[in-house]
Amino acid sequence: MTTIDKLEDVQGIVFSGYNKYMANCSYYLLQIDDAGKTKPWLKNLVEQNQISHGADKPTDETENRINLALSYSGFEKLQLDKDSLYSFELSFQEGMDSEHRSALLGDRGINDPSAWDWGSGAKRVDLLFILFSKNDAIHNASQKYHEKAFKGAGLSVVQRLDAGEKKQDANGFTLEHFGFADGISDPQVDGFPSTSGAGEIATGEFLLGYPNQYDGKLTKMPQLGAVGEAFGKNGTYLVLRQLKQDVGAFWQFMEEEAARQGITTDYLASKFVGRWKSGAVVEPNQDTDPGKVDNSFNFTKDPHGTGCPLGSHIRRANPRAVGLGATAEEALKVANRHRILRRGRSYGNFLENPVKDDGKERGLLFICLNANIERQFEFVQHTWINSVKFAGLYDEDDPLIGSGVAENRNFTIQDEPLRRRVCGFQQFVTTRGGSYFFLPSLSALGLLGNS
Amino acid sequence: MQQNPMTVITEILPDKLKELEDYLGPIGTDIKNNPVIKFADYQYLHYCTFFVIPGDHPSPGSSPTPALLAFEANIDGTAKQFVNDLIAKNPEFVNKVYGCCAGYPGNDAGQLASFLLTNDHGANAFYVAHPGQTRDTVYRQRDIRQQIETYIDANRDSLATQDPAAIHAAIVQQLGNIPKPENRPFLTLYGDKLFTGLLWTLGLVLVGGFFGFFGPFVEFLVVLALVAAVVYLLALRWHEMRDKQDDTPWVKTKEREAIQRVEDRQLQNHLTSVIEIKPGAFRFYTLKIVLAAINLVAKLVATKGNLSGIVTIHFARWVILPGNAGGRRRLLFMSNYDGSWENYLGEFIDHASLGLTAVWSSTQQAKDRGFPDTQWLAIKGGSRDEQRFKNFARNSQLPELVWYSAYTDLSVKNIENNRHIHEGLFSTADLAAWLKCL
Repeated sequence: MTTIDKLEDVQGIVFSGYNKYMANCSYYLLQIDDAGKTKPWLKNLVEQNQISHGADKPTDETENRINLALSYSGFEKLQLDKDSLYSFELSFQEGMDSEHRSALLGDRGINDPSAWDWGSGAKRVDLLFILFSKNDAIHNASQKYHEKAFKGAGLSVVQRLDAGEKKQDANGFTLEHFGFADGISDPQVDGFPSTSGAGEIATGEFLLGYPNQYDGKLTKMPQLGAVGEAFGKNGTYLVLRQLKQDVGAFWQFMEEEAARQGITTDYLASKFVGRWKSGAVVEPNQDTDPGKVDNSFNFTKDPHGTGCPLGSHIRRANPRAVGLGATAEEALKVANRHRILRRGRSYGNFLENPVKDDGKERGLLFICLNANIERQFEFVQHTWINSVKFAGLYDEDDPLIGSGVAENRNFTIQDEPLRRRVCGFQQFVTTRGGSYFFLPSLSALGLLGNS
Repeated sequence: MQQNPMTVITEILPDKLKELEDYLGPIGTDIKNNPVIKFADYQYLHYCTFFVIPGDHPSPGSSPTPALLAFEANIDGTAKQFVNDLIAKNPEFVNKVYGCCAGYPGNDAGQLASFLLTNDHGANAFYVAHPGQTRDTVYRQRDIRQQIETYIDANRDSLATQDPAAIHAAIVQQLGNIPKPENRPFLTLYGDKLFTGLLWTLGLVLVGGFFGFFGPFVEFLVVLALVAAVVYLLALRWHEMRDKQDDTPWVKTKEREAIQRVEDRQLQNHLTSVIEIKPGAFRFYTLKIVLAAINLVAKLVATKGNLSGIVTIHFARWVILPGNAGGRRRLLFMSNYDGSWENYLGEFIDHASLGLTAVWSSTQQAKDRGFPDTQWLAIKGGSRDEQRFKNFARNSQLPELVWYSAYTDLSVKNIENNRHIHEGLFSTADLAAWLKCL
């Protein structure tokens, strides 16, 4: 079991998305115009204990929580020396909108960075400021306060993204816009305050400076001049993507296709996701939602995908104990070297009539934490989500969130005696913006403020 | 027909290097539609690459070695048959390329062919995912599957109400006259049993010999072998303790960017790696033996699309480069694989650390920049050090000028599955399982 040295050095969002106490959340995407002013502002935030950390758990009285991350260009603007800049991992240096990263992530066609609302070209982002508040009144006041402070800190707002309406189901799970229970499968991380016992995934997969899934090795940490690797310790990489969900089109398509195939709409949609709306995994020979969620499955009872299809969204996002090794144990070991920790929220309001689009934008502000973007987030995205050859398949990517390559929009539903197949359907999720950030420890933020 | 490795390595005339790169580069960037050569016309060709191994400048005082042109081809049948076909169909291309190389014999087809064949170094170890599957077979089986899938798509509702035997019969009838698949090669079917037999025999000879069951002479030989093994292991540890691993940081370089620019753009990738073999005869012969062992495993055991747990390699080969300029020998590795670089390297670490560490623990980027620290050749350390290993692999990589794949739309698993579908048309055993392949 790993112990985290100083919880008060780790930014709070690592341990919690503050869903319980913080009803409101805004993500400020900022550009640094005058680093000379930004540094003292940063220094103040740290010295005045405004950045939330792992040791100050929120209570009913807590009004705000603030977390802060920087992109590569942010570190450049804070004038880190070359060696320090080079010590960040390559994907971070290149940036999510670079040509190579886009190819890996499937940001093609209408997902292309050139069409994004933010995160590329003149709208690249240096700094991510996350503001959580307890309620609307406090949030409004805090927004005004900090927006004013940004001006004094040489920062301009590229975009402000606000978390949207929240809905919970009968089991207490948060719903995403398509109407499915979400956030069921975040890994139990060793050493985290919320984890009892040893946890399933090593601390070092999500927090730098601790043993990772490779027999306890340390993942490479960014360094800063004479401070060295202590700069990177207790920090981690943060991935932010704004994913627009086309809810009306999704359910309209499901209705039409289900009618054509002579099955129910919910059955078809659940096959796409791999879970029923309640979050229960789809099992072989099951026609309706059992309503009870047991997340301890590992697919060994469904190796051919006759329940949860081989190409369904949840099987791609985490293949668990089937497919990646000769034995269940080996497969699980491999799968667990590519996990991510999700911390995002939905944006926009829920669509009232799911089959009738209201023209408003809604979706997911996807945030994940990982110690190595290339091995974790990008790997999941490229090798599992967008891979047309995943699990021995031929020509289909993730049916729910897959990229915009038209010829890959196919989906095989394994069944007995013969598979079903859905072909040539549209994309339901579109990338509207995104960036890679580094979420430094509090001491590292202090160093940056003092540099 | 057997698949073979052709690795033609020739010296590039120093003043012709740029001309060669300018000629091959545009072919590589437009592999399908370039006006110079259409690789799809060559029915024996699965994959091929052209790349330049830069000339290097070893220790001061010795003369720099010239840049080399490597031409890797994964082919059905013999190199001779392929080379003759290549020259017959596009003499201009071959002459243009090899006109830039030392020893070019002129445009006589016969002499040109023998020039290429003389400089063909084959491979020290060669892995084929599906031995016996010719390119045409791969194409034919892809078509067969496609026909079946189209038929099912159009008739799923009526088919699904029938039992597997009836569905099978309907599919067979729909396809009409389809030729039977060729039998799998002998070694694909029985190689693993042969290999197990070999190991058992060796074990019996060693154990039995040691206890004198086969007479004093064999006992003497076994003891001698054991002593030699102990001496070898001690010498190995002595070398390993003196090795220094590469600890230079990750850097964004032009070379790395050039490699990444063409990587992960489609289903498959090619990896070219050139690395220095650690100096001295000890490492050189260790490597030779390891490669021979891998070659044996590839021929006998890894014959079903699975190289020690890695299920994404179509073809891979190791070649010890000729010559040892300045006392430096080099190892060339070339692989045609499915999926991303990150996944490929990950699979190496997750499943095949033993084999690959056994190979690369005898190599280094340069003096004091060795493979990640390894103990007992491959037993501990080495590629299990994930990040150092990935960095080492990246630093040894070279960009390709030309890379051709005859089937960019098929993964190793797809090819195996297609074959299974084809075979199943002629069998009535376990039809429910066969239908799951569709």
